[in-house]
Amino acid sequence: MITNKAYFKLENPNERNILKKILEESFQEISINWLNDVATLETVNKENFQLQLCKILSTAFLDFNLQVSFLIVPFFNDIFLKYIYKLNSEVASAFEIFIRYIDDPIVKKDSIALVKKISDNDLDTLKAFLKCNANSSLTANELYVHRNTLNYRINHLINDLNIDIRDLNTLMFLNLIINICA
Amino acid sequence: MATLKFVNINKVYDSKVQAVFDFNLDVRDKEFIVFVGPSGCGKTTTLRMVAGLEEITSGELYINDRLVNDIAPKDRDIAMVFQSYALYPHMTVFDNMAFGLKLRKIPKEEIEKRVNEAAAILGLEPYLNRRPKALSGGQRQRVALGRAIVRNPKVFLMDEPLSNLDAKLRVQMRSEIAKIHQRVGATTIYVTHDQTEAMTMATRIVVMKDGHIQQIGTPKEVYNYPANVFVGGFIGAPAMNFLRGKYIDGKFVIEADKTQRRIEIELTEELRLNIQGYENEEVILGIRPEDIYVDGPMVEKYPGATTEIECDVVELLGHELIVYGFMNGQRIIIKTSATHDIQVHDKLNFTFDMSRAHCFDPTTTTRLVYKKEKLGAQNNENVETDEAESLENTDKAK
Repeated sequence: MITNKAYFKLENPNERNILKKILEESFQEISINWLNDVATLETVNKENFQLQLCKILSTAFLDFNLQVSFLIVPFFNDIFLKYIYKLNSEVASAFEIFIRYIDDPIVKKDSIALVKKISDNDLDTLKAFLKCNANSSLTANELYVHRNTLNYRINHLINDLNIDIRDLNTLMFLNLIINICA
Repeated sequence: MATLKFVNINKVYDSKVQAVFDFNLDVRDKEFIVFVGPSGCGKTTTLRMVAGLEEITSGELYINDRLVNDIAPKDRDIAMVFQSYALYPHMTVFDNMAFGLKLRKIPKEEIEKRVNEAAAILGLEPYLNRRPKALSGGQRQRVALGRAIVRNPKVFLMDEPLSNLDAKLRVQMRSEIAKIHQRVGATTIYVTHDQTEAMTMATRIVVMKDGHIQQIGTPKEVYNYPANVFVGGFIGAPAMNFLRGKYIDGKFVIEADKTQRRIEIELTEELRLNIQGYENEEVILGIRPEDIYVDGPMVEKYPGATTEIECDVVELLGHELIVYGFMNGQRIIIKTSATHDIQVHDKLNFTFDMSRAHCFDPTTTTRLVYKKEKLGAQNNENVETDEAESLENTDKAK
């Protein structure tokens, strides 16, 4: 089961209930937790999560002129939480933040800190997967493991660590940071 | 009633990138204004400033004479329709349109009245009990419009709402949106990169490029009197032809090299008046493909504007023929009737309708127009003249 998570910021806190109703209508099962003026949204097994958040953004503004921003962060790490304040009624991923502020040393430091939290074994799998152009067969060969072993490791990355390597933004972000760290 | 006034609006992002430069525009009540231009020209940024989604860096924005720079989006009485339909997937069409009103605790009778009225305007009455997955793309977009209409806003903002639709559906929805605008009568600002949408839907068009307004005018004005080379080339398909040459002895001349002959196009008195001060200088001649003729009364009217062109590519579009050729190495496109039997490599004489031709400065690229109040001026500037009247007379003559 894949958990989808995003941070979001609402310009007018009085509209929390309305936004909650919009999110419930769109995702059906969600959990929202407020951390002062920012909240985390969690739902499960949602494909095209970022695209759905873009639609919610449009919906919220079309019906209620609500200004809301969403930030999707890989690994559910709060390191990137502060960047939600740089967003203006948009949906962004960590990859987009990184590219937008590529000259900012703090963004680079935060991105590297995020990746350093991954264990060495998992990092080896990730590096091989990226090196092999996201091809599972080639990755298994590269690691000298059976294809089933690789699938187990990939499922562990996705389901246990919430590093969704099937998501393009996550993959591009990891590719950039791992190469910088290396 | 809803009017808008943009006064010296600028938008600069934190990264010091300026997206919009000195934007000035007065929008009258019930107008359908279209911002058109290539990607990155600042049209969506300007729309978002009206919505309140982007902060205005400098300048003033008025809605109904009220300064709204610091007014929150929810207090501006605007409704914005986006490219994505953004429908609630598990609700019927009726509930999709009613949802916003329900959460705002509008009385049930009022909700039903507004939704049914909007459905009637949009032709959605037979679909009120359907869910979005049972609707076509055009129907979904109409539901999105309906959600905006039920809010009774003063101003509608639309950000490329037809971009997700296939070409045929876009054509159909264009005319539907125009009809809806007439029925609802609300002031609308519409953003698109498609010049055909702009031409067919707008009461006035704002052409933008690189954050700057290039021209503001009715579709007819912008098409027939482009302010500069960019507008002339952007509006109209196929695009306007631009030929580089010199103004010598009352003629537009493209010099010959060893393998080509010198081309001379005689200019009308009006054009010569417009490009005073450019004798023996480079100018750009602009002429639309449909204003170049292979036969007919133009040939007799402008014999001095006839030149031989070798046809390089010929495209049959059914009732029209698009002919691509060269004039001394410069590409030219001609649109003519498909009744002409023109083949590749044919060398034919084509005549320019010089009453529809324009001259542009090669450096500034602005259209050259004689400035009446400054007789003998060294450099002509782009000014308003009695061109609209002149255009009507030209149309009548044809």
